[in-house]
Amino acid sequence: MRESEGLRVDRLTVGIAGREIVRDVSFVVGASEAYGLVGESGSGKSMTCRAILGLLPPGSSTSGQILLGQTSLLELSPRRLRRLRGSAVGMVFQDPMAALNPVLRVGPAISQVIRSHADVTRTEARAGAIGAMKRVGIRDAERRARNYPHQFSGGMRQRIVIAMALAARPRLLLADEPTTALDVIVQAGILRLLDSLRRDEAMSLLLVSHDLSIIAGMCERVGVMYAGELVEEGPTSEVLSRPRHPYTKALIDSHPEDGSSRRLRSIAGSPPEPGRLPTGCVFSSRCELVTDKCRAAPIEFLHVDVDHHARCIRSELLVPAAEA
Amino acid sequence: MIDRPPLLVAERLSKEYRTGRPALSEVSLTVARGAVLGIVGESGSGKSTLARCVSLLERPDSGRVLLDGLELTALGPRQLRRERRRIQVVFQDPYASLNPRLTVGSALAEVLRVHRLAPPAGITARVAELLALVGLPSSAASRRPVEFSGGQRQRICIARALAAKPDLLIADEPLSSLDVSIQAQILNLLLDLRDELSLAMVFVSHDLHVVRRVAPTIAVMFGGRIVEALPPEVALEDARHPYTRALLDALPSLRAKLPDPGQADLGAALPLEGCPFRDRCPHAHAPCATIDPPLLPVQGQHAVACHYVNDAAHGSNTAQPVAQAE
Amino acid sequence: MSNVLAREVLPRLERPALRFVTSPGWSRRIGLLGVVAIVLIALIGPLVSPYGADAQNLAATLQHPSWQHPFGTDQFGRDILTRVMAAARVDLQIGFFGVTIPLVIGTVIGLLAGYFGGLLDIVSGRLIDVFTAFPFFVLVIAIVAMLGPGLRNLYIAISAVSWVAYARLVRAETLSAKKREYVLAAHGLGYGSVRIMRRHLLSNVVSPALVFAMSDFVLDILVGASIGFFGLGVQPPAAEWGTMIADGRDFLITDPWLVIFPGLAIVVLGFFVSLLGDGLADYIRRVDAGV
Repeated sequence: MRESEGLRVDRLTVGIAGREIVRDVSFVVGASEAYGLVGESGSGKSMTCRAILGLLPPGSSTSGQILLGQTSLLELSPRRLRRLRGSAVGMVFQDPMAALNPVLRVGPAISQVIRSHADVTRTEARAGAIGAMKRVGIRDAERRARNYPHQFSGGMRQRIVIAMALAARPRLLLADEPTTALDVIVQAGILRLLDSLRRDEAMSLLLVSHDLSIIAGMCERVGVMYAGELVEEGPTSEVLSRPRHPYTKALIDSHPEDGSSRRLRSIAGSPPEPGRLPTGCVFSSRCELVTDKCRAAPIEFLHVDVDHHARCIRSELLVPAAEA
Repeated sequence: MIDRPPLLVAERLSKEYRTGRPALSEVSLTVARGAVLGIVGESGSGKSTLARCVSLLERPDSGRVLLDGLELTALGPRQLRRERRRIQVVFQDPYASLNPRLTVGSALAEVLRVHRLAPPAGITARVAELLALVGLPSSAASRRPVEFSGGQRQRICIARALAAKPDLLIADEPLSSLDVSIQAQILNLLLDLRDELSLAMVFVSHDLHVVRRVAPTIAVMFGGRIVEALPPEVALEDARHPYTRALLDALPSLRAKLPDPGQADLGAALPLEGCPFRDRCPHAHAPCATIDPPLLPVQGQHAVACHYVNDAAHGSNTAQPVAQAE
Repeated sequence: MSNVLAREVLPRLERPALRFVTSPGWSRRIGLLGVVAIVLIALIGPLVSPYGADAQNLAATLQHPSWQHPFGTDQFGRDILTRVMAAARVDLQIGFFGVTIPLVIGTVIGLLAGYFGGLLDIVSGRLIDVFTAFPFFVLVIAIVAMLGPGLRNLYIAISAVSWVAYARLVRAETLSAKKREYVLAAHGLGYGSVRIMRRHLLSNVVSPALVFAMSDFVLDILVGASIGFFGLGVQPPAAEWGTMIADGRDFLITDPWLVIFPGLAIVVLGFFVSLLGDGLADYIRRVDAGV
């Protein structure tokens, strides 16, 4: 058992307008651990993030539990949640311009964050802001602290957002598609930065992405989401080398990275709509191994290996013959 | 070598927008019939400008584009309108690529009508044929784009491009807006179409992995020029240009490698003189600051635009500096 | 019966033209209902009324509103209710023509200017600037004063001044629409300019102009009424709300209904047209979003 000092999500279900967008999701991010949540659009991974941050749209319902250390997040008042965001939980989203006030110079913007979570003087906050900018790799920080967000490139803006997210030394950093809008080489820089910061600050990192290869390089554990459910969860190296859910396997097979054959193995069809889920397994309509039993009733999250779960009753078929 | 003239020849295309470094700087390439050329680059590399200039959606400031010997860049507007159906483009954004007010059927029928590619009585049948070609049911013809998913819309865009019976299909980041599992579907569709119709293709993308799957020959772009031409027999790992190597190092991988950003100086503008990559290059030396390195072969069809690589290889530089896809 | 309803009637209601009526949105429906009701009243009212709009009855001048004359009578004994209904015809026309003519002219110019740019854009741009420099009312009154009173001259004056706003809206939309990929694709497919403007741009750029047209409708009625107030509009004895208000001014203290009812009519029509405009904007937004 790993220490649950980081984040524990327990049977989280999120409903919006009567439809379940996230269903019975459970995972644990240990302290100083990097956890990856991977899924395509509509898988519910972003909604899970929003639930953790308390940023769900009005009219949504939640059940289950989210524990940050000892604090139960779903039970907090909006005011306490707001204080938590930025202090105990830092967030980085896809579009840096959505997080940066275009009329605030970046130095003062970061100082503001520092001062709202710690009792320091203005001078100390300013020094802290410059230090944060240096820590995220912005050269000539003293001068650049006086610049506005639009004077930075996309990658640098994201670094500033990360600096702001870390300003109050949070326990958990939540990054939802932080590099999707960035070029490959810039992306590499941001990922490296997140990785080194995570280790230096002994912080938990929850990284959400649709790109399995990013998660492969960054995260020790991975959870695969499909149509609102967590269909597989375990150590990254295990899940990638020995996937135990047909969707995970299909996701790996359809990744364009150097395969031998020209054709990619694609999955026929498309994910089900939130209101029109099949009775049994959510993946049943597209699965090659499907049986009647799969369609009959919802599948439990089964234990398939050490710290490795999969929501599939046919998962033994995926284990290579030599091992079984 | 092939005796027939290549299908598409682009000669020294240049285009400059308002400021700084030109978007395209004397770029040349050729594509043979039925061949696929991949173009890889990040944003600002000029790859989209190249795609637009080759398809004449934008006029290059200088240079020529020849399709089957016909010089498109020299044509008058009316003639160009008639000929340009032979080069069709599929764009990145399937949501903005279709007129929301037209039904799928009428958009496809319009192509057939304008270019008289089917007799009036046969239009409905041909539309159904085109839809089947891209894996959509004929009932799609009466619906509007808004009723379809991203992957389906991209199929419709491909069908519309095919309706014009093009000789060359240019796909400008066709997969980037799609989900991972849908990307694979569309990629396979493009490969199938290439095989069935012997369609020549230029595939533009920032994703090196995807491009390698589709295109035997790859041109890597940086700073408005082609910096490396990789023929089919050269593996990606054997690329030589420092930028291509930086790109490879930075690629995330399923093999749990942490991407390496190299010496990228974030946000600095590219230098205006000499090699555009020199500020980030570990091998930059004297000539790099003043002389723009020409694209020269280092071995067979493998060409690189780099002083360091070319000096190390050999001194001969008689071959034509051009990226070719055969 | 319900089977027929489900099989035959309901699917027909789904067709695009009727969807405007049937899809949800209370402002639009109420606005549409109100405007249609007023149009019907304008058409049928004067026909079924026992009084002629211009029929004077000097024995029954300045009567208070009563069962016989729900809106009372004016200084010539004419029934105000009938006159208000007859005037509706005129004012509805003013609103209609005052909007459609500039809409067409402005859309064409805006589309051409936005699409071709260059000299055409510069020239029309300067023209637009000139017209915008003058206050709307002043220019309209000046033109009517030059041409002489009467409905036709009023239409000319309004059209000559109003097209500018439409041109600006359509040009702005065209500038952004022509960069969209489906227009690029149309270019790539070798379509000519006329085809692109007609089929691929027009219906996609005209929405803001249509929405503006609704508020312009109300404005034009006010202009017509104001012109009538100055005596430059329809000439007596023709009924028009503005002239009715102008004529009733002298009796405002003693017999205010001469002024109140035509005024109320303007407000009511304006209200329904605004609702319709609101609903239209909403409807267009939803259609564009694909809901």
